[in-house]
Amino acid sequence: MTRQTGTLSLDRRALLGGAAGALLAPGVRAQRANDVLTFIEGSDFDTLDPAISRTRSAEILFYVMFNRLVRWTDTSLSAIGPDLAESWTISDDKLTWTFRLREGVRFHDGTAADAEAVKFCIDRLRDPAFGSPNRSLYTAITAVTVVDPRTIRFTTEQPHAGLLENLAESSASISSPTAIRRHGRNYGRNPVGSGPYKLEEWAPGERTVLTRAVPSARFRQIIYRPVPEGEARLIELEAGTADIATGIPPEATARVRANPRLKLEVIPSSFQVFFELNCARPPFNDVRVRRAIQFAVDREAIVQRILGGFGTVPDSFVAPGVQSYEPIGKHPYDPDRAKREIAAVFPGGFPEKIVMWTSSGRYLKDQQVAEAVQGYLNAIGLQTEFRAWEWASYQQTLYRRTPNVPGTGYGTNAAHMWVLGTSIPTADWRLSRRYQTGQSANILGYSDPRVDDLLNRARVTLDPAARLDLYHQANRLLWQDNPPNIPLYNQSQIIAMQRGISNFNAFAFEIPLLGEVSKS
Amino acid sequence: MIAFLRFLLLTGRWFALLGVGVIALFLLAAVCAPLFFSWEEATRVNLGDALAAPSAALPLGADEMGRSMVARLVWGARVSLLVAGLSVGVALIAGLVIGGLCGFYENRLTFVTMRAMDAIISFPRILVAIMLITILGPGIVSLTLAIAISSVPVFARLFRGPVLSLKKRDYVVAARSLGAGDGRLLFRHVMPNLTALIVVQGSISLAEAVLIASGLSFLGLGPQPPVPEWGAMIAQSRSHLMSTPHVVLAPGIALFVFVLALNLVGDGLRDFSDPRASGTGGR
Repeated sequence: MTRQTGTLSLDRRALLGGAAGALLAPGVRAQRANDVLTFIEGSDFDTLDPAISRTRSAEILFYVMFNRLVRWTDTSLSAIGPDLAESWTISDDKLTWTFRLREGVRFHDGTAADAEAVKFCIDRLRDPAFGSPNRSLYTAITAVTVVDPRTIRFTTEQPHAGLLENLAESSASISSPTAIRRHGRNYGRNPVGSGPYKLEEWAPGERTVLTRAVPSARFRQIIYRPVPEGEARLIELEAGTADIATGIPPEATARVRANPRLKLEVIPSSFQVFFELNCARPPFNDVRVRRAIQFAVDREAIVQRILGGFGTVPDSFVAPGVQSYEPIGKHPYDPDRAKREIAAVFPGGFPEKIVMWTSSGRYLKDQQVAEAVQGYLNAIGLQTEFRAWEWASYQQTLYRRTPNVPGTGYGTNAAHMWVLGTSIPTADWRLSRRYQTGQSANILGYSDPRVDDLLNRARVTLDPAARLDLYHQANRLLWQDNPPNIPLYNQSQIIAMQRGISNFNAFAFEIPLLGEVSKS
Repeated sequence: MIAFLRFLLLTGRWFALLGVGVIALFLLAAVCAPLFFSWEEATRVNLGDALAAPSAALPLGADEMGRSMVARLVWGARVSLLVAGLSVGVALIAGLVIGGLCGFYENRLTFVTMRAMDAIISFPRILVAIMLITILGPGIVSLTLAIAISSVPVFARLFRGPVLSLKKRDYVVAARSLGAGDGRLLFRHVMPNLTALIVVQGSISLAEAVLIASGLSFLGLGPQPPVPEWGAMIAQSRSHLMSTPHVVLAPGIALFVFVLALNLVGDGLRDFSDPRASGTGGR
């Protein structure tokens, strides 16, 4: 009888133990598998074809799946070093660049990563018929010539100061020509590179799995999962089902700090978030209004109260961490001045409603900040109409030209202002992409011949100091004389991870280097 | 109304009475919102007060934008009631017309109409509403329309059934044999019998409409900022649940209490309008 009871209680204990084990299992497993890295982020991507992607989350994966010709040697962007190319030279007339490629590199499908492949990919980017949104980075290149399988030559019409920087961009990742030919338009779902990891599985909206492609790769698998909610990402970390999570909401940082199993990294970001102004439509087609509106917004309050201090008030047209950053001076908060200067242009007040669009959840507290700006605009007597968008349809709508209206030329004309951010760290691309006349991403219809001229000159100035000076001049023009937007804040990267993660590093343009992380 | 209250009192339906009280309170708040708080107070951004704790000046604290929570709740009641009331009203009338006609006349057209209603009803209501808002664009008007359209089939089906049986009743046949026309039959002899059904289903649908409206607003498909709406308020402040819970709990509790009250009153109304159930006493 006693014995029976004993057995019974033992069984019960075993059962309890089993149940507890089952409950703990996912966490235990995530921590035990040191060769699997799970990374979670807010957004998914629409394509994994580096040539046409303009999504940062996809770029994170491009960095471990592909090689480029050259790459930044460190996250402070101090120098450009070899990647597929082992060395390069520039001709005396500064018009021809010759790259010597590494020997024996192969794509994951076995194709040789040689000069032919590089030519194929760069020509594809330059091809107007292909229509890459990143094309304008590479149009200065007039010819790509294969000298021999290990030597490739780029010719430009004018000296091209930014060539190496552009070739270090993730859009210049070299894909396997075989795979591109085989999959055609479907290549974005079947990318093949030559990096340390290759794509194993991509279930859109759910997970992307990369597996080790070379023996030296640290992890057997890197798992990328989009988890839209910041709060949910933190819960995953707490539960141990993920290793690294980006975009932790400021109000949750205290919880990360209090948790002995987690740690927090705050890394400065080159992301500047701004309200872009439609320069093709009243009232913002008038530069006086664009200048006046700068004083209407209390950016200090936005950074302190909404971002919880995780961010900085912009003091230049670009954020710290961008090549051409140089502090110019913050815009003061002076609503009376804004009101006065707008009244000088529209004596009876601007009669229409200002249509403001914002993404929701794309940038740190974007919708909340946009709402605050709405409040500030109302406070100086402007009427507003607000709309918050989900990112994918937001982006599509912004870049879709309003039919039958001259508008801005490349984007919607339905809104007066919209929230966007950019993290581009190179001076030329950051400015010319959006603010040079006629560029396809210049959806705001901004055009200033002085800015165009400075950017054109900088592009052919090979002396680094002189080139930088031209960018500084352009920054000052865009900041004070002829602003195209209302800069709101410079973001900080708030990243939480398990204590066992070390060697974590991220570019200021919010690209973590997943390949370099270690886990114990 | 008085009869209903007396019925609730006499039969001891205290919960339903409580519901009536709560709804009266919310109605009062919604109708008289401008007397208590200005629109300014509910919408003016004042980051200095962001996430302020409850105090004498801000009885329920302030939200992320430093706006008074009480003011936003009260104005939010107005939005919720307006959207729910209008959408149910529109759906009710449309449902009555469609259901009444399709029940009274049985031919190929009404058959097809009812099958179309069945087709719509086979989708979850919220999905139909989301589809409509995607087409119309977010805002109060499209939110109201979307909820109305998505609930028309429910009413149409509900009203068609009784009409089908009522029109065969002896008194209707008698009226017809006396020479009454279709219109007179429908409006004098058939429709009045639906009153109880309309009242009960109306009150239940109202609760449902409030929930769907705030659900859609939670998803960002409702009125756009700075218009206060309970669902949108929850959505926007939900990341503060752990740090400053009052900004999430206040609209959540308001929504919960209001929907509960509507359901309690609905139950009371059902008992009131159905004499057979009234003998069972309290719940």
